[in-house]
Amino acid sequence: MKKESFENTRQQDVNLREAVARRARKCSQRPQGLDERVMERMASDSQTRHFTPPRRKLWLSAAACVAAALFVGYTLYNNKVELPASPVGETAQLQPQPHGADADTIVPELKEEKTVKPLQAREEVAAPVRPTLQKEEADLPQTPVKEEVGAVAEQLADVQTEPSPAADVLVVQTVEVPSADEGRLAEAVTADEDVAYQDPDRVNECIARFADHHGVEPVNQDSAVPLDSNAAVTIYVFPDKKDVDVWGRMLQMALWYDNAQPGYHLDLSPEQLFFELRDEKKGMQYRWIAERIEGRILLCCAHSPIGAHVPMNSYFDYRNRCILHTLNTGYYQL
Amino acid sequence: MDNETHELIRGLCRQERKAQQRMLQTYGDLVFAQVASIVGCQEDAEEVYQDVFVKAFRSIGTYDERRAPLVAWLSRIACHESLNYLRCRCLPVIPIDESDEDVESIPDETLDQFFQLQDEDAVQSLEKTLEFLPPDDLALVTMFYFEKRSMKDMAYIMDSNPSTIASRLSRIRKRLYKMIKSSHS
Repeated sequence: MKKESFENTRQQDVNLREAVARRARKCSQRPQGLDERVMERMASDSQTRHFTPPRRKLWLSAAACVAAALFVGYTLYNNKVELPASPVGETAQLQPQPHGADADTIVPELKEEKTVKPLQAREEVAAPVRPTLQKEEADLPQTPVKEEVGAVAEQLADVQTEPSPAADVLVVQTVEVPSADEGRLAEAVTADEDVAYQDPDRVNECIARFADHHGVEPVNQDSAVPLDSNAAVTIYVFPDKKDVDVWGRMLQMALWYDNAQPGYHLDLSPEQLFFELRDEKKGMQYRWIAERIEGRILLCCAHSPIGAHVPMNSYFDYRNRCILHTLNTGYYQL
Repeated sequence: MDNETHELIRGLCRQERKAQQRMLQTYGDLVFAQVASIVGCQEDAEEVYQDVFVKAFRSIGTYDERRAPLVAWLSRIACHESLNYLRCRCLPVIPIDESDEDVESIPDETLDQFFQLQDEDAVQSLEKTLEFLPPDDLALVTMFYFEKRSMKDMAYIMDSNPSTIASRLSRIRKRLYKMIKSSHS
């Protein structure tokens, strides 16, 4: 059928046209009150959902967010970069170390820096000791780091060769610089706080609901976990079917969690899945093991206080029994 | 585009209730007929009808009057919503298992003879057979034979181009013929 002959076809296909029209006419009357329902829906939607802003506004707000993020990032970066200034103050205050060693440790850290602010901490320390030195430093407000460090090293040498009672007092008063270990600890705490809390127990809730949906009940494990253990182990046996898709569900849940979560560990192969999380707020650790065995998926959910022994023997015993039973009988029923 | 439609679009962009009501009054019948002809069921058509207008009111900001008139844009939403509804809610349509070569071999003359024949039995079997067409094909046939749309309009609504639409229509005719013949045999 050619494009130009379409109008003819439309006119000539009498019975097809009639069939389509009959089908369409069956319900072509718009009922009364339908428009009111649309308006009601719009009204209820507008209470929960605001009008979508035009694209330009979206772009502008996105650009503003990016700019804000860059600014925050830059500020944080600068703060981190300024940290090495403190050891300079520290070396100025602590005389016992030889000055050559100080210079060696300071220089590599600061080599990459272009300029630094005037060394306020050092000025505070040195002021009572050497008034003349303070003047020299004031003359060098934005000097390159290498020169600054060189100057510090020289001044240190002077201070060490001419010890004074005032300097001894200063040592006691000014040693407030956090150690490198403390600095690292502070960083680690900040990084952990950045990760939003996601309750690992939600996986167990989801699995329980999922199992319930498919009519799968947890295997009786009364005898499997010792009475004195504070760990809980639950085992489910799912059919390995595409519509049940335990693998997909588990993976979906695992990927929902931020992998920066403490203790996050996910190992996956077509036959086995291992997923672990730690809840530091509740002091619990969670572990899920799924394994494909002879047309079934054995899923083990275990949780216990952090560091406590989890009696996984029960799981492995059960797994072995499953395999042996299948091998002996050819079917899976325990 | 006339001033009245411009005014309507401006009101819709401002999410004015009055403009929305006017749009429903103006295009309601047309949209309902289109939706009903594709969906083929009164209750389903009512549901899709609401979805169409809610979507249109929400996304009026994306309407570009240089591309198509407002009514075509609305028809496009109606068509897509109806097809989505059919794809999601209805039982999957079993595709006709036949190769394109098989269908292509039917001569145009045979088809013309068959479809031009004024026969009640043929109309009734065609009406039944239409239910077995995939949603997209059903929408195309409805737009072409019932709504009497141009190729350009149909191409815009179906996100395609006129020549593709033409060849699809041609193939649908052949398939319909094939289906009826095989059901008789």
